[in-house]
Amino acid sequence: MIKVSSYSLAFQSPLFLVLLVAIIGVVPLGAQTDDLVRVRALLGEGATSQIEAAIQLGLADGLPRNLLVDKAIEGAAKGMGSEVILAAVYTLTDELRQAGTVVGLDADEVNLEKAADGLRSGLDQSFLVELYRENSEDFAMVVVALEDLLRTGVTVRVAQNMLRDASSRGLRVNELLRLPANVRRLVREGRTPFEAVRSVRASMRSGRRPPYPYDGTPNFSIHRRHQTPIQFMWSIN
Amino acid sequence: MHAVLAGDQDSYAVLVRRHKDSLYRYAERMTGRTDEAADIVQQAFINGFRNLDRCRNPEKIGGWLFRIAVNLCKDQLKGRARREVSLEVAGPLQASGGLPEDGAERAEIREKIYRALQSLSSEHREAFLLKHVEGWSYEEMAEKLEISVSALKMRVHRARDQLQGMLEIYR
Amino acid sequence: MNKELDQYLDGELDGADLQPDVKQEAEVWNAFLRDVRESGAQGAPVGLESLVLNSIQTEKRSQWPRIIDWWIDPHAIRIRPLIGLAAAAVLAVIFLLPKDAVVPVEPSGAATTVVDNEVVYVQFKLEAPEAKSVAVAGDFNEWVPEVMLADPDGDGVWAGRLKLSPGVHRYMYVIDGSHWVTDPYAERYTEDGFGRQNAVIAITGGAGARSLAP
Repeated sequence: MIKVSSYSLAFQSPLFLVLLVAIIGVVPLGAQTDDLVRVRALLGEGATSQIEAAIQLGLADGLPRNLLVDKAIEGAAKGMGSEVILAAVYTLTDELRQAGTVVGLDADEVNLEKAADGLRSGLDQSFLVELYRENSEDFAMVVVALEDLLRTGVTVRVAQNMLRDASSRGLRVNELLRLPANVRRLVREGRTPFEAVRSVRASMRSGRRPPYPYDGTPNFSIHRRHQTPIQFMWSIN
Repeated sequence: MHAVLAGDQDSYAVLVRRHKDSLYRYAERMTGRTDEAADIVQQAFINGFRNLDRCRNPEKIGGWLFRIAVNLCKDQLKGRARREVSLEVAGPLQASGGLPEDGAERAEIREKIYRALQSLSSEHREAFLLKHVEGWSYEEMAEKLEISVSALKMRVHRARDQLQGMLEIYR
Repeated sequence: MNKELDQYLDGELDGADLQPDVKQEAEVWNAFLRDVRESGAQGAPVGLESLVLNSIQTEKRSQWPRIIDWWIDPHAIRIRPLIGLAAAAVLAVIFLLPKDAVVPVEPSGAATTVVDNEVVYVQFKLEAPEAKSVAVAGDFNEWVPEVMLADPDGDGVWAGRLKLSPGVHRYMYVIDGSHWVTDPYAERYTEDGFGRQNAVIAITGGAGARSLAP
C-alpha cells in the first residue's frame, strides 16, 4: 500500500506560486487600496514599484501617504519619466520630514505641506513654529501670503516683520492675502520692494485696512482682464 | 557602531544623516559646484557601505567616510583638469546657504570668496577648508589625510598668504 | 604673514595675548573666515539623504543573489494536504470578506480644507487662440485633465467654472490633451517639483474674515 501524505509541486518555481496567489488575491485587494493605479497605467509595473518603495520610506518616517501619492500622480499625469518622479517624491519626503519639525507629523496634511513650502521659500523654522502655535487654523493661508510677499522681492526678514505688523493690527486673513498684491503694484510703478513694503506698512499703521490706495498711475486694466481664476460666487450651506 | 559594520542599513542611515552636511559643505566648496558635490557625497556613502569591512577603526567611521569624500573630490578635480574644463565656466556657488543679509553687496562678497577659493591649488584649498570651515585640528587632518602636520601647516599658511588680497574689503 | 597671527589662526595662541596691531589684523581675518563659512551651502540639499539611502538599499539587495535564485529556480515544495486546506481557508477569509473588514478606512486628513461645508465657484480663463481644447487639472481632481474649458464664441479665450472647497489648490492648464502650461495670470505660483510652476489659488471662505492672532 502506498501512503500519500503530501503532494509534490515540483513543476514550478516558488515565484510562480507566489504570483499565482497574487493574481488570485491582489486583483480584488488592489481594487481596494491601489491609489497608484494611474501611475501604474502610465509608467508600468517596474517604475511604479520603485515609486511605491520611495513612498514606503516616507511612510516609515510617519509621513502621510496622500501627499506623496499625489506628487507621483501629478508627475505621471504631466508625462514625467519615472526617474524624475522618484526624485520629486524623495525631495518631497525630505521636505515634509523637515516640515514635521514645524507643525508635527500628525498635523493636517495641508499644514504639513504649507510648512514645507514655507521652509523651501526660506522662512525661518523658528518663525514658522511660532506662527503655527499662534495661528494654527489659518497657518496655510498665512504661509501662502508670506510666500507671495517673498516673490515680490522682499527679504525674509522684511516679510516676517510685515506679518508681525499685520497680526498686531488685527488684520483679517483675507486682508493679509491682499498685501502682496499691494506691494507688487507699487513695485510695478518703479518702487523697490523695500520701499513698497514701507509704504504699505505705513498705510497699515495709520489704521486703514487693505487694499491700500497707492500713488502713481494705476495699472489696473492690463491685469484685471485676464487675471484668473476669479472667485466670484459664494454658496454657504 | 558594530551594527553599522555588520551592514545594518538603519544604523548606516543614522551615519548618513549625521555626516551628510559636513561632507556636502566640504565637497561643494572644494569643487565649486553643487551638482558635483551632491554626486560626490552620494558616491562617498555608497563606497563607504560597500567597503565597511575595510574600516579599521569603527569609532572613527565619520572621519573614514570624510576621507573617502576627500579622495573623491581629488579624483573629480583631476578628471576635470584632464577634460580641460575651466573653473571659470562653472560659475559661482548657488546662494543655497546664503549670508545673513542677502543684499547685492553680500552677493558680491560671496562671488569674491568663491573666486578666491577656486584660485587656490586643490591641495591648498583642501587644507584651508578642513582647517577653517570644518574646524579640524592639524592632528585630526594629519590622521585623516595621512599627511604630516608640518606639511599641512605649510599648506594652510600658503593658502592664507594667497587669500590676503581678499581682506581689503574688510578693512 | 606675521608669525604671531599665523599661530593665532592655527589655534595655538590666545587672542588676548596678541599685540594690538596683530589683534586688529586677527579681527579682519575672523570676519573673512566667518564669511567663508557662511557663504555657500551650510548642509546637504534636501533629497540627497533619501537618494543615498535608496542607492544603499539597491546595493544591499544585490548581496542576496542566492535568496533571489531560490525564489526563481524551479524546485519541489512539499505541502501536507491539511496545511494546504488551512492556507486556502485563510486566503478565502482575506479575499472574500467585504473590503471594509479587511482594509480599515483611515479618515481623510483634509478636514481643514472644508470650512462649514462652504463651496466656492471659481472661474478659470485662458487665452489660447491656437488651442483645439483646454482643460484644467489640479490637486482637486487628481491632476486628471478632464474639466474642459469652453470657447463658444471662438475668440480664443477659453473659460469654465469649477466648484472648489476652501483651501489652497494647485493647478495647471492642459492644451490639446497633452501640453501642460502654467496659468500666465495666476495670483500665485509654486514649484511643482518637476521643474515647472503650478499656479496656486487660495480660497479662504468664511474663515477669511477671521482676524490674525496678535
